[in-house]
Amino acid sequence: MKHFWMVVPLLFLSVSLFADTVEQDRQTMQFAAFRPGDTNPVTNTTLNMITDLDSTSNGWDASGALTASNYSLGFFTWTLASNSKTLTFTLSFKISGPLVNEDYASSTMDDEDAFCGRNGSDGDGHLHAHRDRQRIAVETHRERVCEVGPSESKQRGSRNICIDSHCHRGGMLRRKT
Amino acid sequence: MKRKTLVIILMILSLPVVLFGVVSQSNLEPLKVNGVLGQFTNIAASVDYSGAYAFQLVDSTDNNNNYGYLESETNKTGIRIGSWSLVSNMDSLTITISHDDLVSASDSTWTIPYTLGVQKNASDIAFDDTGTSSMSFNLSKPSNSPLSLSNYGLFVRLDYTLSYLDTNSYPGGYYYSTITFVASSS
Repeated sequence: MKHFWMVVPLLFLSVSLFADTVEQDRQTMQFAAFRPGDTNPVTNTTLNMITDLDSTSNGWDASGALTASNYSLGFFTWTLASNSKTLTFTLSFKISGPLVNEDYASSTMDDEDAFCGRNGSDGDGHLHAHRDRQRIAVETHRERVCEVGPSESKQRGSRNICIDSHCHRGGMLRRKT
Repeated sequence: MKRKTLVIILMILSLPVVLFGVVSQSNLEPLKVNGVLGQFTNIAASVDYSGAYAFQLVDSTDNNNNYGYLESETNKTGIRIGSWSLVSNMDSLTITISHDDLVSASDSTWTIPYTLGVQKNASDIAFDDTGTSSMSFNLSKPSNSPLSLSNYGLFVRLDYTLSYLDTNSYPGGYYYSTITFVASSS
């Protein structure tokens, strides 16, 4: 007990001697870097058809016909954002005519699942887009977007979202001319 | 009748307040004055980039152009990732800055060491010691004003080449590092 009270002043003295640096303030900052890889590429692609085929500003004249003077206007637009190392974007399309004014009360469509299924991803991180006469499909690893484009029936486009090979038909607009 | 008249008079009297009160309020520009009694030190740091990450760790043509100096041009500072600021009324301060490696978020066994560059005055950039990943330097207060540093740069230069990461199959995803700033006085 007697020794203990001798130690206390020594401890106090040592703290006073060596604790000569006082921390005034401390702050931390975290930053991040990103390494793309095939394990988790982030790819987002959209492909939009022009659906208003009556509008001359969209490259079609009032009768719905494609004319030489305005066919070079934008027919569809697409955007792409990705951090994958390489991407392949393949786009092919075929337009069959003639496009005429017809009064359609109903329309028929191909089986969406079958269509989307035969355009499956090849699994190499590449992206493929295919334009068929009636529809456009854009695929990534995680999402497939099928869009119904203008048909010979002059039907306005509708949009089908396909995820994991399952397509869901979007709202379809029909109009009698 | 008297009460109704009184109400109307009060409404008329309060009309200027309604009409001009908003205008008067919008012209108010309060000036905030801070005073400090005793010792005061504040050190702060923030990232510069607005996206999810400061830069990509991938060997490609674009990145070689962007980050080439991280690999070969050792006289360059590296890529700027953030800034730090300091306000203090202490006569002298010791600033100690340390950091860990960039660590893969998916697998912490994958780490990428880097050299941190810290701007410590208008024209000088200090680099951390290789191996300890820390640095320390002293700052002194001007004679008639507090010590104030604002938005001084923080730079990163990778110790590995980007092609090295590819060759050794470093996993994709986010890599994080934490930088610690300590201001102390004697």
